[in-house]
Parts: sequence; C-alpha cells; structure tokens
Amino acid sequence: MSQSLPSSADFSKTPVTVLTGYLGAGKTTLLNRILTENHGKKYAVIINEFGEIGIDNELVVDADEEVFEMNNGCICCTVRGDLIRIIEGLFKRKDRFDAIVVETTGLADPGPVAQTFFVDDDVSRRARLDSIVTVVDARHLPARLKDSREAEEQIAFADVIVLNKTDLVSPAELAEVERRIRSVNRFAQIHHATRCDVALDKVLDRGAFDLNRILDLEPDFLKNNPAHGEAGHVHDDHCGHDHHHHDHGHDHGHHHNPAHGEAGHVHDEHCGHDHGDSIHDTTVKSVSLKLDTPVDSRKFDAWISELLATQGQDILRSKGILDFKGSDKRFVFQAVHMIKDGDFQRDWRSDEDRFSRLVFIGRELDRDALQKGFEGCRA
Amino acid sequence: MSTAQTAAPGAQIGFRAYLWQFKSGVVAVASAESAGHAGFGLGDGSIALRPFDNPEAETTRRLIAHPDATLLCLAAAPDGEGFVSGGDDGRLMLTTVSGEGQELATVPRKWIEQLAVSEGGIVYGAGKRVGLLNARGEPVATFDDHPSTVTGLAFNPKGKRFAVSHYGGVSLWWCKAETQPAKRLNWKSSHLTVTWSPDGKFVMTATQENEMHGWRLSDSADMRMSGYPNKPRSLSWSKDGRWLATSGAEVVVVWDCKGKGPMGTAPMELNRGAVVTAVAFHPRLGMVASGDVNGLIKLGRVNDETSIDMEQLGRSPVTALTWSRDGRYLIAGGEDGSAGILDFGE
Repeated sequence: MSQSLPSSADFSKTPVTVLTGYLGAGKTTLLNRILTENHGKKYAVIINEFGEIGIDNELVVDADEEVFEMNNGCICCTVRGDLIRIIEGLFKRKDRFDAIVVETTGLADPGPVAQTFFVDDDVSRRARLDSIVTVVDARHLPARLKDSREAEEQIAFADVIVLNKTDLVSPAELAEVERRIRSVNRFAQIHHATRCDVALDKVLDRGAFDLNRILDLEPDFLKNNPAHGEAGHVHDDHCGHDHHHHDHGHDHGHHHNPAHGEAGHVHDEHCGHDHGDSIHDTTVKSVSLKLDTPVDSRKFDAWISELLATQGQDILRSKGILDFKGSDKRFVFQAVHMIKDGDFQRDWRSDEDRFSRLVFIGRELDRDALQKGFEGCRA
Repeated sequence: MSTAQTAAPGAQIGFRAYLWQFKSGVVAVASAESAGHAGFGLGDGSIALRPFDNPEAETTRRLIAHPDATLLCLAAAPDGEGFVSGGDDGRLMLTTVSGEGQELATVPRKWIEQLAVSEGGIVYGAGKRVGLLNARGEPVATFDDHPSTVTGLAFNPKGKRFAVSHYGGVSLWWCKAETQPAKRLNWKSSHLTVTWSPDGKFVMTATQENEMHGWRLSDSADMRMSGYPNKPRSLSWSKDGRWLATSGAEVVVVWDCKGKGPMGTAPMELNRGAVVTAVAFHPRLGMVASGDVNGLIKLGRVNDETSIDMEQLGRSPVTALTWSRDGRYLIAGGEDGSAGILDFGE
C-alpha cells in the first residue's frame, strides 16, 4: 500500500530537522552550535539518551528510539512511537519554539524517523519534516561504509551531508570520500567542514521536503552527469564500465555475457569479483533515469505506484521531475520508501529543454527494469 | 462568559454555561469533588481552580504544581480534596485546593505522562516504569517489566489490579502481591491508552493504527474494532459497563459491550459532526458528552440516539472533558486555552 505525503507547502507547521551520523562524527558539536549561536530562534532538541550528552537546555528532551511497526499493510512502514509522544508533549508547552531538531544515534535507521512525520496525523498536523542532515567523518567514513549498513543508510536518506573533519584527510582522500558519498546518494548537498563549522542556514530550515524547493536546492539534479573522467563525474550505471559487484542472489534472466574468463566477458555486476574499485562494499546506490520525450501522467502514476508498493522497502528515497504530455508545468515528485508526493510546479521556460528525470536511491535496484518501466510511461 | 438555555428534541435539558479563556492550552481537567472545585491542568504547569458554587468568579486561583514546566496529566486525588499531576519536569505532585503542594515522586530526565487514581491508590508512568502509591501518596511498589514506554494506565473497578498499555499489548498487575509476573495481553501494535470496564469484564485499548483493541478477561479472547479515521484516544464507559464511547470519528462511536462483547456488532453513532476529540459518559445517566476538533460540545442520549449541540467552547480541538462525580457539572478544556463548566442544575 502506498500512501501520500501530506502537503508539504504548509509553512505554518513547525519545521523538523533530523540530524543523523555516527558517534564521533561531530553531531554534538553541531547541536551545541544550534542551541547556543545567536540566530534568534528557539529550538527544541530531541536527543537519544545513549548518545553524546553534554548539552543542557530546558528544551532538550531525552528519547528512547522506540521503533514500532505499523500494521497498516505497508511492509516497510515503521514509526518512532517515542517521537510521536514527545512532539505532542512539546506542543502542550506554554512557551513555544520555532523549530525542532531530532538527533538519532549512529545506529539508527533514518527511515522510521522520516516516516513518522508522514504516517502520524497528529504529528503531521503540527510539524513538517524539513530535511535530513547527516554528519560524516571524512577520515572514518570509508571504514564505516564497510562495516555498517546504518552508515550507508544515513547517507542514502540525507538531503544535506556535512562532510566533517576535512582537515584530517588529504585532498585526494577527500575527493575519494566525496565520490563514495555520491555513489550512494546523487542528490544530497555536500558541505565541507572542520569542527562542524558549516553555516547553520545551510543545514536548518531548508525545505528539502517541499516540492517547490526541491529543484532550487538541487540545481545539479537537472544536469546530466559530467562525462567519465571529468570533474564531478559520478560513476554510475551510465558510464559504461562497472564498479560494483552486487550479489543479488536472483537471476536477471539475461545470459548473453560469456562466462567469466572467457573471451568477450564483460565485468558486470553479476560476475561476483572485485574490479578494484573501492566502493565494492556499498550496497546502496543511486540510479538516474532520463527521458527526452513527454511522459503520460496516467501511465507514470500507475507504474510508480506499483513500483513503490512492491519495491518500496528497498527504494529508500526517490525524486523526479516530469514533463507530462498536455501540461506546460513541471511535475515534481518525491518519495520516502512507499510514501510519495507529487505536484505541478512552475511552467517550463521557453529557453529550457523539456525532459523527465528520476533518481532512485536504494538496494537491489535493477537499472534495466527501472529504465524499461520508465520508458513504458512515454506518451 | 455566557449562559444558555437549550431544548433537546423530546426532552428539556436546561443548563447554564460558564466559559472563559486561559493563556495556556488545557491539557487535562478533573473534579475535586470533596473540595467543591473543578481543576484545569494547563501547559504552563499550573492547575487553575473554579469553585462549582461560583464558577463565574472573576479571578481564577492558580496552583503552581510544576513551576517552569509543562503539566502532562491530571486527576482528582483519592480523597477528592485536591489534584494529582505529572509533568515534563519528572515530578508527580499532590496539590490541595488550599494550595499545599507535596512531591509524591520524582524521576529525573523523564516525563510523567500517565496517571490513574482509585479510592485506594495512585499509579503513574514514567518511561517504562510504573510507580504505585497508596491513597495517602506513599510509595508502595514499582513495576518495571514493560517492553516499551508506558502509554496508558487504568485500575480495575475494585482498585485491586491495574492495566498498563505499551507496545505489543497490555500488562495486568496486582496491587498487593509482593512478587508476581505480569499477566500479558498480547497484540502486535502500538497501544496508546487503556481502559478497564466498570463491570471488570473487558480491557480495551486504542492503537496507533486507528483501531480499538480489546480483551475479554474471562478467556483472554481478542476483539478488534476498526473503521476510525483517527486514533480513538478518548474512551469512556457508561456506569453499568454496557456502553463504551470512543473518539476518533465524525461521530461518537459507542460500542455495546453486553454479553460476549462488541466485536462484530455495529456500534451506535451519536453526536454527528466534526471529528470527535474527547468523550465523557455521564456518571449516572445514559448520556455522552463529546467535544470536537472545532471546539463544539455536544450531548447525545443512548436510549433514543438523539444528539444536541451544547456549547461552542473555543475554536480549537477540545482536549479534555469530564463530569463531576455527581453528574451535575461538565468540565471542558481546549487546546487554545478555552475552558468552561456546564451546570445542569440539581
């Protein structure tokens, strides 16, 4: 069952920033800045009791990270029961606050936190998810990605990534870390920082879940991937050589590739050995699709609904811009797992190319099947 | 301040309404019957008092139960001379209407959000822990064996057992036993509140999935009652335990719990209008008061299924509703600080 994201444009609701990242990455430094810097706003901060304490403020609340499954037929639908209670409790206060920051432990999956803001009516009536911010340690991220599914998910879910402790790595190492982040998440904004010295307005009140702001925040989203070998290039499925070995454990049904070691073999994701690319250990990747001719809105709706209903567990986030036949407006789409939202945005300008682009971030993404499905939506 | 005379179809229901506005939202209301006062628990940590014999009193007396904190739950004290309250300061307070405050319990860095009071004792919930106090407020025991944060508490009719709702179901505990395992009533869901029927036969919860769940205690049989567009969080029984009124829909959904229970039967629907946020069964008569998301108070009658609009309390959701024990006064409060007492006379 796929659900709809509530209307994200209601800015009378209190914005909520979710702050994730591994222990030691620098979350507490950032939290302390949010609580103490003179930005004229009052933040309620929900921290987990096992986290890096050391901050005190009347609006700091302990949480227990109680993740509950919803028995609503949505298999990936989990919510944070403690967050629901705490947010309701915070709104009983006489002294109101301007925004909420939810800190999660390094081991927490950001999915349930995000879904809480869409699934629970009492929470979504008052609060809107503003963005998911992930703080990563430039030096330790490669090791984290090797041994931790959570570290990878925190990057996959992020709208904003604070790449911290950049002073502890060489420029080459930094470029490599950034490349690996990009291989997991193509659309997050990355800010370099030392001691989390990122400007707070780059982190707070971003409106990343507001459909009207998605494209303004991510201008790169509209661009094609720079060519292989050029600066900014992301090694994705388009670039004609294969970086990943994914043990999918299922058969794609195309056996045209000669056996490994035989003439003509292509080192693809099926052949099960490491091609020397250091990102072999990540299981989450981004798949980006593009169509240059208009899309039929009904076909797209049917396809994306079915796709998210059946594979939404593995598709962590998705975003898109669509050129629907018969409309002069850009259609903007996004989803967290199975929960989706879409709306018409501004008119296409006469000086811009009209096209449709979709990005999926997730596990077990079958690029060929996604491409085929998307092409089936052509008008 | 306003007064009103309203006629019900088929019967005259006369009442006077006294309405006013607090600066903080009303979190909970209670009737300290013996002391003759209604209490309004507010988001600023205070309990505002109104005497039943003079609800128009120009000034409201304030009991500062939780200074610089938020009051999260409120109930009349076992002796009816004051109020018990919990707050986000981790304190459980007993405050008499004359203003004497006594700290009954303190749980550092936790919120005390759950509270139930019987003639014989008090239970409160803080995190996964439940504390039991006697009627004088002295600690008796603590109960820690809960799988998640405690979301609801209810005594049985005799006050000898109590039910605790949490993730995955309900735990039933005896007040007296020194050591005991909890009796578990399991149902995979996040249970948000719990109530025990006045005849002792049923324990019912509301769940995160907009459902009611219940157990028939004679055989632990499960009952599942769905169809709510919102969470049915406010639950109230008729005196005889036959009817259970619930919020969460655009009517008050009233389940008939005679015999084997309500599962599979069509509920009665009263007080149709906007989404109901609070319900309170009259303590003696077959009438249900309700408050809705727009601040309207209605009254419905079970025997002929008629409903009337009573009073516009405020413009925000009604958050708290209760009758005085004698059934003469209806006490109501809203999210925007709107508050009122409806006096139905002798």
